[in-house]
Amino acid sequence: MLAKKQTLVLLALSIYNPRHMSESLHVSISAETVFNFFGLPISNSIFTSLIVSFFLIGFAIFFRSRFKATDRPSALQNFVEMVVEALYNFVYSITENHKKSALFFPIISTFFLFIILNNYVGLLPGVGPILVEEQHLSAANLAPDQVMASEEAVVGSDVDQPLVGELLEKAENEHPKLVPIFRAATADLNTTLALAIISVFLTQFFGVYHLGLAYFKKFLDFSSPIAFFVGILETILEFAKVISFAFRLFGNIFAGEVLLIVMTYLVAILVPAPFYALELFVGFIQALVFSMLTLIFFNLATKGHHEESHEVAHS
Amino acid sequence: MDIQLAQIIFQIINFGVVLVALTHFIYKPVLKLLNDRREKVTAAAEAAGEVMQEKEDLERVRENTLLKANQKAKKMEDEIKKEARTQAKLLLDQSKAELTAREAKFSTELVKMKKEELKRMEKEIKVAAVVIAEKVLDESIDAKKHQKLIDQQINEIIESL
Repeated sequence: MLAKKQTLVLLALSIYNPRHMSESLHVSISAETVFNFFGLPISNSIFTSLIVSFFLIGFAIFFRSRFKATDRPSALQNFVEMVVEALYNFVYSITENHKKSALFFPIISTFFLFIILNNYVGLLPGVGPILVEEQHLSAANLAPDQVMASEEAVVGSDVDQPLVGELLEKAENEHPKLVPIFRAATADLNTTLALAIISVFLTQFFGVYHLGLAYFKKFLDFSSPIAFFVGILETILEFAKVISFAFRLFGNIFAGEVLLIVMTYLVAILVPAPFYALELFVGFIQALVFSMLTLIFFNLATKGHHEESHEVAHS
Repeated sequence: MDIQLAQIIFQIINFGVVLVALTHFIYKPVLKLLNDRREKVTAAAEAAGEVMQEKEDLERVRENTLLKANQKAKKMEDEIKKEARTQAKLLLDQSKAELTAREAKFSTELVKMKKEELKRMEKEIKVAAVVIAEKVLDESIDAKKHQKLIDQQINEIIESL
């Protein structure tokens, strides 16, 4: 009797569940776990970023095996030389110092390449539509007290709202929902936060590396009350940088993906094409903005506080 | 949005690995190559600059040498012209002197020849006069014939001259 009642409730819920409406239009602000690797949950964004990383590393190894120190390089080497030179010139245009450029260049270039590739991966066909079952705790793995509580809830009352919620949750656990196996890493806040933390941490590192403990003077300045207050603002600013970096990149890329999904859902042919072009542009610009801001922060951190204020005033 | 520390750490490590790989396999060799090439180009440009400088110096030396040679040639030309003019004048003077001397000598010889000729004519006229006189004496002829005889003898004398 209980089982029959429960089945009926689940059937009704499955028909009227508003979540079913969004099944063909899958939009999730969080990355979903697609498999577990030795107990470590691997989300679709991490899985995609791993593929991108393997591609970059594989390409680097392949390039190194074909690399020749010659004045007549192959087409591939010519292309890589062109990209590296353009990125180095970009770094040098900001630092105007070869020593600093050589120090910052690998990080800035890697930021740019890593972000732009992850942005563009989200635009590839198959990233989104290929679905797998989401990995999480199934009903069979629920704790015994949780199972007991749900059974008591069903037995002890009529079909009311708390029961519906619990049953729905249980039903979802028993019938795992389908999630995309690929997701652009930059459309996951965890990735953008990681990149932002690297950027801000390295800014502090380069500041200390170049100025020593004098770098912290801009955060702790007791020369005047105003300077002290400015120091507090500078400290807040460093944390704000992390949030700013992370949410700017995440927001732009995630919003772009949602836009593409919605446009494709509404009109599948031709209409999404301009939006794809726009997202290609946005992907490039966001990678450039992230790299450029990081570079500017690196450069400012390696200059004295007075010099920095002077430069900011000039700019 | 669920922020998971494990995922953040994983992505930091992931980025670090990519950074190391790209730096080791791409950035370092390519930047070294580009630097070497830049140095080579700079060295070549400097060498080209030196060669250009050397060429300009040589050009300047050539122009100076040419100028000096032209000046020298001009000077030599002037000297030669002057020398030629002097020589020509000298030769002219010598020729004139020689001519004058020859004229004088010729005049002297002419006068001498004239005197000798006159002497010879005088002698022949004397002989002819004697012959004419003999003929006039031998043949008594009239004045007209006499005159004709004299003219004939004179003509013979002139033709014999």
